[in-house]
Amino acid sequence: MKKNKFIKYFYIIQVFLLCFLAIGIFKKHELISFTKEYFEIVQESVTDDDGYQCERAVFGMFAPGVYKVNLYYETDADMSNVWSVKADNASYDGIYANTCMLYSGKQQADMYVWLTENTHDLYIEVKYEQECQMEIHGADIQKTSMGSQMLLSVFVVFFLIADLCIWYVLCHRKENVYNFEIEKTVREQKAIFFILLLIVMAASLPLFTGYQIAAADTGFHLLRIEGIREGLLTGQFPVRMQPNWLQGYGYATGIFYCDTYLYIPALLRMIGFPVGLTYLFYKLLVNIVTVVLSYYSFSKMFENKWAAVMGTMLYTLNIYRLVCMYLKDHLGQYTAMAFLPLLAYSIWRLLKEDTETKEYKNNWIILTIAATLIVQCHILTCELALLFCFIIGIVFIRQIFRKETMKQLVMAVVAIIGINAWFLIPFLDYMSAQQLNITGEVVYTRTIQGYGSLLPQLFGGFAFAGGVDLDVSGGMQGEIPFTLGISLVLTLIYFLYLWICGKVDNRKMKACAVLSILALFMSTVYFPWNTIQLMGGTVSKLVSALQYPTRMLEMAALFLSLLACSCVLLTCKAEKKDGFYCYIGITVVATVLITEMFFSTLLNRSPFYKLYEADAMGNAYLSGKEYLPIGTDESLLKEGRYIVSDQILLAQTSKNGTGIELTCTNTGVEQGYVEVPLLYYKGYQAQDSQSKQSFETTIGDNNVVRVNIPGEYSGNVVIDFVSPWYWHMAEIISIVFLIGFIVMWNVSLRKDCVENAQVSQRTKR
Amino acid sequence: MLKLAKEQKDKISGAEREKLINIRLACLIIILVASLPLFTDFLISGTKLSYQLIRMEALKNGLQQYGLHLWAKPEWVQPLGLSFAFYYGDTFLYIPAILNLLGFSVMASYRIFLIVINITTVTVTYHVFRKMFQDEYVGVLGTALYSASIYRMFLLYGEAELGETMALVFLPLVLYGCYLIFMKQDSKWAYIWVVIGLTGMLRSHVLSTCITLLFVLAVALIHIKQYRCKYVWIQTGLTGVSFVLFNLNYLYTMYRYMTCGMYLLNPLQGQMIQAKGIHLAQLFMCFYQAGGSHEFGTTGIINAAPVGLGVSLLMAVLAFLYLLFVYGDTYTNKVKINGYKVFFVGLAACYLSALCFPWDRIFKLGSGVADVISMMQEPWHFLQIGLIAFSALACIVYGMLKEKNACYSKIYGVVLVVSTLLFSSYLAANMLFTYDFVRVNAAEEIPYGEIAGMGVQVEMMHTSWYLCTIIVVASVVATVLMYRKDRKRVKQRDEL
Repeated sequence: MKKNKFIKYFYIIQVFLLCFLAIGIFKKHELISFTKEYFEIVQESVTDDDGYQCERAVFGMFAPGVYKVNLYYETDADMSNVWSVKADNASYDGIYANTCMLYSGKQQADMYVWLTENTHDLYIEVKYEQECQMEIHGADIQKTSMGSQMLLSVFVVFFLIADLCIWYVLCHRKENVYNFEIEKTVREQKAIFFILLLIVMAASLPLFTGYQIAAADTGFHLLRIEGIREGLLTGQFPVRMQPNWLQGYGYATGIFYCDTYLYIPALLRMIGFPVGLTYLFYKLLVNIVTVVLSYYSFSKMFENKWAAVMGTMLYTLNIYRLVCMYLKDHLGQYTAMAFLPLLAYSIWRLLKEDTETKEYKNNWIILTIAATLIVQCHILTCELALLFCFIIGIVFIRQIFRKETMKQLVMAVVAIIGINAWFLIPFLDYMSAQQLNITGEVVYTRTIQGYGSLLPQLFGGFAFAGGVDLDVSGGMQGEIPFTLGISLVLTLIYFLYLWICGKVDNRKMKACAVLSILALFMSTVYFPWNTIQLMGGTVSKLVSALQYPTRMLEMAALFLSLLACSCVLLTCKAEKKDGFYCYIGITVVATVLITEMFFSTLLNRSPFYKLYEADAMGNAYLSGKEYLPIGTDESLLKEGRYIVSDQILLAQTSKNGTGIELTCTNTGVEQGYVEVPLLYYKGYQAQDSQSKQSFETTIGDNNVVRVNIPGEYSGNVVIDFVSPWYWHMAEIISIVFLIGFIVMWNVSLRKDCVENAQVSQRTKR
Repeated sequence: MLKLAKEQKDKISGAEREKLINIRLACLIIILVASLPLFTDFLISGTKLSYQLIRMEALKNGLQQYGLHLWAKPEWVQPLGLSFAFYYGDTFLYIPAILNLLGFSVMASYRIFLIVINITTVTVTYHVFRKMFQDEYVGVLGTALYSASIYRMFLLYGEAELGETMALVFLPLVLYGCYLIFMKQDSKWAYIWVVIGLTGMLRSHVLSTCITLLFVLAVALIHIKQYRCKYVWIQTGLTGVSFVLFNLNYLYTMYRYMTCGMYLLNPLQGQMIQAKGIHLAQLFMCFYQAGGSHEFGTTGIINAAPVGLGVSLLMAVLAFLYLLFVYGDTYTNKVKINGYKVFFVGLAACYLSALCFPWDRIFKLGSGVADVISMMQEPWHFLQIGLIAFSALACIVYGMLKEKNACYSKIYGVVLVVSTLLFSSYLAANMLFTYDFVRVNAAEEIPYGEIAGMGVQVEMMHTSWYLCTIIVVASVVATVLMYRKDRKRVKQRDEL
């Protein structure tokens, strides 16, 4: 009774607290402005010899919250002047604000500042080169509702988890009839839950620093998150053209690199969380999903929970996955690795002997889900998965060419293409129609064999977190550890030993062993990638698209984890369990030691970012520049750079995301043009804002958008990215397929539930 | 003596003798592992090594010039003197100072002293845990986790934080005393362990004493229900009174220094400390790299000093949580409550040492609070409480596992001990590999040692100090006599 009362009061508190926080969201806050007179030169900055000087305006005292600060300025120096918001006597965690860059093409900059305590001496500081022209017109600051939004979302999640726990406890209280089997099962479930939670924590250790390790592609992915956020705020959905890149010129990363999962951190950004924190949360989420899906898949495949736990541990903590996540920051790849076990499970089910069961007839559903999840994050992993599926298809050709299996495969392929059409159509459209670096010769002729791993890396005991990723000619000094870790290698050796001893009779597992060796071989410098590339054509493009042979390690990790599950199963059933205990003991200890050594060197050596704000990282980091139009000179991409032909007069311009509105007049009879600060991609359209008359858009100098203005025209021209009609068709097809898929899935689940209930009723009788 | 030893040997059975040998061997290995970096012809150049050697040298010079009653060395820091005598207790530094006087080199004296500290720590910790848990192997487990811990290795060599290392010798005694007072409640001399522990800590490291007092207070609050019992009141009262009496002269000296206005009390006044707290990721790592940075807030874990508790203690914590989560209903409330108490004390200590604890906000509450906080210098000093708490928790978990299966508890114990020794050895090797070293055979070779050569100024003895010292001596003697009398009476009663 007491407990029920406590739960009741807890629910009441939840409602009140959430309502209170929700009210805070709608509160209006005053805008406080500071004219240029408030800014004073900091004398110390003038006398020191660094070539910079500072101007400062003191804002005064502010309560905790999230504030938006605007700075109005003019400067002729691009990306060499900076501004920041500080408070000298703030606590260590009292203020979160970055130093951001100022651009010559912009007259206004804004940033968000997170204050976690009453701050008495908040000030804005602009640091600029003494030799450049800098004029500060003023600044203003206004509290936003983001603080309340953040608190509300945190409490919602907290209460959800608490309510789930209460529900679980209440449910199990009802089953509190003494039953040894139930008790044993419950204890086993608890033990497994605990261990899986431990694996998540172990894999997420670097996230508990609160900062982002400065890996190769970290800036790129943070910009993607910001791009989705800005795209959504300017009304684009799905976000194809991210408007924040390259000083607002935009970048088509959403078309080539599916952003689906990045909507989660982007939504958190929109709520008000700092960008770095949202990215850490995303990585934690990926770790959780990896553990859950691995455990689910392996337990279904091997029908043994503890074998699944072993496989999950080895798969989640394999060094290559951790390298992808923390050292290289290959977001798509480590996200795809979370779904690979599910794909393995779906293939496993397809290869089952009995095709007449009801369960078999739903195999296409799991395959569709697994494949869709992978397509939505990393095309390269799709390429690798397809390659190995093809090889598996050849090995198990007899099973593949069964009527029911073919039917399942066809249904799955149709569903996969249908559901992913919204991404695949634009992707293929741009791959074929656009002249980009990724579709150009430079990429296709790039050889990759030299970037493979060496044997000491592959089979080495320990993995040191180096930061260098060079061709084999650079040796191994300071290199990223391209290895899976000794545990998985020992697993392979142990499995081969069991095979030689005649203890392995499962053909699928034997195939796994062979495929894992193949994948390992393909990840090394010894595999003849360059020779294969010489075949030219599509093969050459597919090989060079891989970029690094070490990507094969993700497939090797999957196969070896399956072998680990198999080893546990084989040895635990043996009469003498010495092999079982030795294998478990050595593997677990080795995994812990190697993972910890990797994290220790990673945290001790790697530089890091503390990023709260998009502008702090600039907007020009393009990683491999794959989606840039060929021949673009990035140094000429300046904010606000409008180039007009002689007879064109430009009166006014405004930009919002990928859209530009300008007022212009063509004083001549001949056609003129306006080149706007947007990178040209297929889809940009221009029209008169009143008459809706269309204007031709073409590629201008340096691959920017050029709008041809007819002679004697005067008016407002609106330029924006508009998805072609067939992209919208693809979106509709995807929605239809998705709805259809969900309905069919639901129907099959209900059928299973009904059948299970009938079976259990019959058993009871 | 040989006859006595033989008689002892005959009294003990074979199995018992083997057990005794195992225990002693294990303790010896722990001492060796903890002392390994000392078996060289140089000293690892820890952060405060010069400071410690200067103190030793100054004490030696003072002994040579003025004898045992030294007060201060006010010329060490201009313009106001930083008094070692109260700020950083000298009592145990007399050992290396005397060794140095007897002819040992500065380096040799320092190394012998550290070995003595290691031996004493192991001995004290072993006996404390053995008595608390009534099991010799648990004694070894607790000793290994405590004496060969990452944190202690860091203090000994990385930081050369002699005061805190010496304080750690006495911390287990405080734990034992609290255990006797609040849990066992069967000895009228329970308070003496707390008093000895706190006295030793006060004479070694004032900051550690303050931290320990804070947690003793917290423990007392946790056991507030026990105060219904007269015994606990009496013991607490005796603890307080005895502590004051045993240290009266020292406390009097501290009071005089703080109020006379001649000495610099807090060279770090006004400095906030939160940015020096440790990251959560640093708390329980396996492999600590021997870095030198203490600014964890600004530079992260890059080149960070190896501050943390180590993965062995994490394993103990996780084992505890696992047993509670999965088998919680099979354990008695008493076992669980004891475990919770120790667990939450350790957790609180870890939180206080972390970057996320709002030290800077507390700093801003007022100038008095700010002074106290800035004196702490670095929040990670709270880890010593985490260390003792989690070591005790590990011992509790051993008992919990033994209830389930004796084999599991043995595996657990062996894994924890071996991992502690392994990772501590790794840290030691890393420090030897990475850190600078010094060879100091004479005072002139101490870096910045010229400061010590400026001599000492002795303040005239005040009558009050003599009075206090007499009270101290009388209190100690009286306590010893009473204890012996009581023991005799108990022995006679037992014989009857």
